[in-house]
Parts: sequence; C-alpha cells; structure tokens
Amino acid sequence: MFAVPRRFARAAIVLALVVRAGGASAGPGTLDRLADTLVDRARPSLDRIATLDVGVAVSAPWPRLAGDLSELVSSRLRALGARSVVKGGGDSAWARANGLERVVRITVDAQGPTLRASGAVVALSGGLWSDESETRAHLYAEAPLDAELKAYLPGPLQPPGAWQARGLLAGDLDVLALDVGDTDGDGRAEIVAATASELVAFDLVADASGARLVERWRARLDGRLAAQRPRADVATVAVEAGAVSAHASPFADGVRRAGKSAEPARGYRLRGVGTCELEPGVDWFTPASCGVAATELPERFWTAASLKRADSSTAMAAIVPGPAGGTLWLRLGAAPPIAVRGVGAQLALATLDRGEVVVTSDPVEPGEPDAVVVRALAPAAAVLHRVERLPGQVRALATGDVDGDGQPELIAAVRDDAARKTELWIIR
Amino acid sequence: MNARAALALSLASFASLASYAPRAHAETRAAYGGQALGALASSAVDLDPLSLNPGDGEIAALLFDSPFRVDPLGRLRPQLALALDVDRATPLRARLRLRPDVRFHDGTPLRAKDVAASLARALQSPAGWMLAPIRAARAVADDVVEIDLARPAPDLALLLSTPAALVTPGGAHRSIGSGPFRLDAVDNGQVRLSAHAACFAGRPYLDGLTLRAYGSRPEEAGAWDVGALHVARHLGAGVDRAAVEGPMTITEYLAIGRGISDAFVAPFAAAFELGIDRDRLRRLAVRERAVPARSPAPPALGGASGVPVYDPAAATRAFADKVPAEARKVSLVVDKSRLEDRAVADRILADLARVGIEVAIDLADAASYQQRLQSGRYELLLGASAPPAPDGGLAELALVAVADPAIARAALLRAPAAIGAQAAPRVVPLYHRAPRLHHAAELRGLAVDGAGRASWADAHWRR
Repeated sequence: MFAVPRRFARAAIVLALVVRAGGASAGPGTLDRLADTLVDRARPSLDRIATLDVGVAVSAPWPRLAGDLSELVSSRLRALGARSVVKGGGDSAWARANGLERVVRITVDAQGPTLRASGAVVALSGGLWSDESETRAHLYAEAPLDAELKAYLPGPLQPPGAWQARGLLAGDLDVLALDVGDTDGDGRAEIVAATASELVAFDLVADASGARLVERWRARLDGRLAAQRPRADVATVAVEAGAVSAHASPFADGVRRAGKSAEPARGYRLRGVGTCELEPGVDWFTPASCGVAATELPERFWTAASLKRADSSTAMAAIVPGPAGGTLWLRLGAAPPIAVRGVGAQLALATLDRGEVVVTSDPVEPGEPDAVVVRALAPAAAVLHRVERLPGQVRALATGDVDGDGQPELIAAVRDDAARKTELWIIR
Repeated sequence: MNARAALALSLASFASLASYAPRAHAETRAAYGGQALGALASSAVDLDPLSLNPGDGEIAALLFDSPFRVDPLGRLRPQLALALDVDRATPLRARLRLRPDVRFHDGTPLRAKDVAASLARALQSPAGWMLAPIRAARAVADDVVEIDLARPAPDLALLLSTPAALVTPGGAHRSIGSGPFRLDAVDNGQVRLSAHAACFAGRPYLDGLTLRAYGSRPEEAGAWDVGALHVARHLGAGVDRAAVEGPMTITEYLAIGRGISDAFVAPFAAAFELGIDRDRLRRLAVRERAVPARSPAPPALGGASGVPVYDPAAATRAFADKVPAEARKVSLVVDKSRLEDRAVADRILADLARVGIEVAIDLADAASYQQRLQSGRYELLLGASAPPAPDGGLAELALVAVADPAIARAALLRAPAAIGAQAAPRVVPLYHRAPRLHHAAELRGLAVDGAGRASWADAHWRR
C-alpha cells in the first residue's frame, strides 16, 4: 500500500533560504513580521523598483489569511516605491494582462506548530513578442502558529498538513486521458490511462523498495477510423461501476470494456456529464453533442466534469477554449457560473480530506513545464495549492483513492516529449 | 500470405533524423482561428504536385495528400492509405487500400480512380521518376488501387510518400487537393490559402494563410519589422527571435547543363570539385546551419561528412589543358527569388575565376529558371535539392534527376535507392543546409521538415 510516511512541503526541497520570522514572542504583528521577512528576501531581486509594476499572489487554505498577507506584502512593496502593485491569482495570463514585470508568488501552509510561507520572485519579459520568465529569487519564511495566526484558522478544522506530490514513472506512454476505478473487481482502484491507440491500467503498489506503478492490463483501441479527427488527438476514459469506457479521436467508435469483454461504444464518455461527440475536425465538444441543454454547459468545451457536493448540490466545471489557452467555467448549484482565465486544458473535481476542490492544469510559461493548480470549490475559486516544477506537460488529471487509504488523491499524467517518458504524479 | 510492404521497409536511416523530434514545451491546447503571413523559399510558379520549384513544393504539401507520409519523428505513416498489401506469390502486384471518407476541397470524395490517375500522370512526367518501380496503377474498387510493379518493391510505401504521389481529382493538373488548406487566390505574387474545414486529418488551426516570396532581404526584413510577416526565411543573424530549424538535408548544387559539351563535363566537374572552397562558401555566404558537401547525400541521411578537398592548383591543372579558352566562358543561371543563392553565386564566381573559368551570372525569374532547369538549356545552374523522402539514396537520386530524370528513373527501376549506387556526373554538391524559419513568438506549433516546408497545418496563435 502506498502510505505517506509524513507530510512535507515539497517546496522546501528547493528553497534557498530558511529564515525564522518570529522569535519566542507570538503577539500581535506575527503576520507583519512574516511579510517583512518575505519582502526583505524579495528586495534584492526588485532593483530599480520605481520602474516596476509588481504583482502579488498569495495562496493559502485560509482565504482571510491569504488576503491579509497579500495586503501586507503589497503595502510594503508600495512603501519601497514600486510603480504599481497589483494583487491577484499569480498565473502568467493574469500577469501579462496587467503588464507586470515582477510577480511575487507565495504559498502558505501549516505544519505542526509552524506556519510556513514559501514562493518566488518571477521576472517577466516586457517584450511584445516574448513570453519568457525567469525566477529571480526563492522566498521562504516561517512563524510559530501563535494566537494571532491561529485566529485565522477555522476552529473545527485542523490546519491541513503540507501538500505532497510525487511522480512515478509510467514509461513512454503518450497519455491523453486518465481515470481511477476498480476495473478487475479486486476491491482496489486502478489508474486507467488512455492514449490514442491503447488503454493501460496501473496499480499503485508500495513495498520496501518504495512506491511504484505496476501494469495490470493493457488493451488496444482500434476499429473503424474516424472520418475526421482533430489535428492533435484527444481521448476520454471513464471508469463507472467496474466498466471502462474509452474513446480516442483516431477512431469512429469508442470501446466499453467490462471484465474481459469489450464492445464498441459511441461517443466520448465524460464522467458525471454524459456521452458527447467531438465537433468534426476540431477538439471541442458542445452541450448539444452531450444531449444536455445549452444552458448547462458552455457553448464549446475541451472537457467537463461534475461533482455531487456534500450539501447535495451539483458542481459543474468545464474548460472553455480561448485564444490564450483555456478558461475554467465553474457553476456551483444554481448560482451563475464563474470564469477563471488562463488555465490549461485538463480538469478534475474532487472531494479531498481538505475539502472540495477543482483541479486544473496550468501552462506556466511556454517552454517551461506545466503546473497543477488546486482551487477551492467555492465562489471565489481561491488557489489552495500549486504543484510546480513538474517535469513536462500535464496531459490528464483524475481523482480517486489509488493507495487504498480511504481518501482520494489527485493524479496527473505529466509527459516529457523530449525524453519520451510519462510520469503519473500523485498529489495529496 | 500477405505481407505489408510498409512493414518491410527498412527505416533505420530515419533514426538519424533526431532533429525532426518535436521540442517538449508546455502549452495548453492550440487555439483555432487567425491569419498568418509567411515567406516562401522561392516564388510560386505552378501550383502542381509535380512542380520542382521549392516554393511550389511548399504549397503543394499544404494542398495535396499522398498515400503515405513521414511524420515529425521520421516514421512512415499511412495518410490516404489504410493498407498496402503485397502478395508474396505475386510480388509484382500491390494493392493499396484507401481511407473511405476523404474529400477534396470542392467536396467531391477522393476515390481510388483519383489516386490511380494521379500516379499515372506522374509516371508520364519527368518529375515522377520517384515512382519508377510502378509500371501501372488502376482502380479496382472505390477504395482499392492495384499497382503493377516492375520489380519487387519493399520501398513502395516510401515512394508513395514522395511529392510525385500527391493526389489531385482525376489526376488532373489542378490546384485542388484534400490537404489541410485550399487555394483561394494567387494574385500579385501572393498565394492566399484558407482552412479546409473538412480535412480528414483535422482542420488546420489557422483560418487563413498568405504566402509569398520577397524580392530582397531588406524587403523581407521590412515586412517583418512592420508586422506584415509572421514567418520569415531570410532575416539577419544576431537578433533574438523565435526560430525553428529542420534537419540538415537540403543540398545546394551546381549543375552542368546541355550548354556544356559532353566532352567538357568531366573537366568542368573536376574544376568545381577542387576549385570551389565549399567550406568557406558555406561559412561566408550561408546564414543557415550548413556543412560542406563531401557526398551527394547529406550526412543526416547517411552521406559522408567532413571537409572536401580544396585545391585550386589541382583544379587548374585538371581543367586547363582539357578545355579550350573559348569554352571557359560560361553563364551561371540563378533563381533571383532565392535570396541566398545570389550571395553564393558571387562566391562561386570568384573561386572559379582563380582556376581560369570566367562565369557570368544570369539572374532569372522563378518561372524561366524552372523552364531552363527542366529543359536542361543552360550552361551552369545553381540550385537546391530537397530529398523527396528522408532517405539518403533518394536524396542522391534527386541530384541525379536535376540533370537527367531518366537516369534517376532507370536507377530506381533497377533497385531501391542506395547511397553511392548512382553517380551524378553533371551535378556537383556544394553544401548541405538546415532550413530555418524565424517566426513571431506568439505563433506556436511550427516546425520545418527536411525539405524546408513549414508545418502550417499545426501552427496556431497564442495571444
């Protein structure tokens, strides 16, 4: 079984400096001192600050703490003379839309009695034709979780431990879709990956040598060729009641595989949404192709998912194609949908032990690896966590209990085309 | 028992094409829409699959499809074909089964009779030498073409991926194909294309594309500077721009035409081999990555590498007492729409003057250059040859075909193409270069293949 020995902050592996922001005292002003430390660390990489437009993006599981820390850091940057300071989501699309030259990204989490803030100062090129960015400094600060900070945390909830993410090699598998479910009736969920030509199911096993993926079964996707396919292949896979429904765009039909039997199946199965059809020659679906009302989903979308929430309402999410990437479309119950621009093409909804989340891939910068962004399934869709420095492009996302501990994990298929390898990242 | 001829191919040489491999980069899915403007390697003359002109070849790759194609990793893939079967009992007959759902730009379905007619037309044309092992092709069903072969052809699928196998309706000389773009207009030197929404391989991301050749480097650079050009071929070095580069497989050559008497071909060729400093030529006159040519096949396709011998004294000796003085004055035909070639011609002129050959440069427009190239009516001609497929033997035969397609056809009729199997006495390879394209940073998905053709169908804007 894949067990977590202890939770740890992945960011801590790469951060350059560790600075204690607070001493023994934990009275009022702890958050101010945390902000002071972060700004002190960022300052050398903000030279000629009077000429810079700076963005501040703080993500934390506690929105009020994130908001206050963001304000404190912003006010200090203004005091240093920054030409302008903008608070926001921290992704590249947001930074470009605001014409920023620097972005201070900070992630806050708690471990035991300590609150930890980590992040980076990212410089963005100002050239019209350039999309380059460069990490100028890594930031790290921590403070004791004193009364002031504890007041930010919701009472019944303990601060969740640090997020953990680890990659496991899945081989040279050009994954286009993922899902998790028990496909062989052994009571444990497998990870099922779909490429343009095959399905591969993996078990996650852990023993003395560590966790690894073990291939359980493999099946070819074939049949009559599609009359028209998109220029870049897409696929879907859904595990429902032990049956696997999969469809890849080179083929006219999909397959429904239950046990050892397999039969052709029409359409692309999107779990919780229905069975949809690609628009001819392109890579998106429409509500009509899924047999749902035009008001239920965006006019066109790359993928969609739904989740039955704890309050019995339904959350529906989709990724809408756009000229600068995807837009997350999110509708919670009967509320009007909200949109978050600048996301990647992948999507998953999950109920984790940390709460209900919507997970997207995030194209950090062209030429750099993607990120996975976890947002609260709430009206503001606040960023709870970003998994960065992934070794490639996020090709697919899924959620499910792959280690058998009773709690679902997030799974991301990360493809490095140049190295011709794919890793499945388990995020919890 | 049937055996797939495609599987019988030895594709080992493709492995050397590492530079075909796409770069790993993180992007969300490509967006559809938008227009782009690109520079051609040379002016478009005749938008026909059998045209030899590089500019026409670039456009033909966008308009037409062939039964097979070579993917970005150098692997042979079916395109219009579903299968190619050769019966071992009758190895001189192959059956090509076609995809059923392909449509031409005018909406008519692409049938076996179109493929058979296109192959038949290519067989009648000198430019169809790449199909030499094919004796005849006929439609035996809507989706099956039966091919009679002159020899067992394990290379048949590879040959069916070459430009000679591109398909037009009824095999006619028309600019209608099944490819990702359709031709809208050719006016004032510009070729305007629009997306073929019903393309079986997927609608291209761009809505429209305008391609043209520029009269000079400053003109092209000026268009780039004002944003009127998104993909350029002749920008100066030293400026940081996004660029993509193909494998080093385009061979620049000097051809000896019918204007030179047969008796003088060997001394002229020897003078060119020894008297042109090919290493200096590629260093001083070529802006793309290039290596001097030691063999007709580029090293990237298995040809010899290294610097060829430069010995002007030996060149003079080889030439002087064999060619009379009055025959030493020759003209060199250059396509003036190929901007790089003018600088190369100047260097050649200087080198040959040292060995006693007086060269006059004859700048020709693209159309008359093509006419003279195909008719052989020239003394010397500077040209560029792209391999019809990523195969060293075919790359060499392409050079042979420059001077005489019949020799290339005869060689391929005897056996599959192989490096060193056929001499090219009238063609002297100068250097092998890697085509490079500069592109607007927001134009993504662009790659360039070994023939210098941009992958426009995969290009898309990210704003």
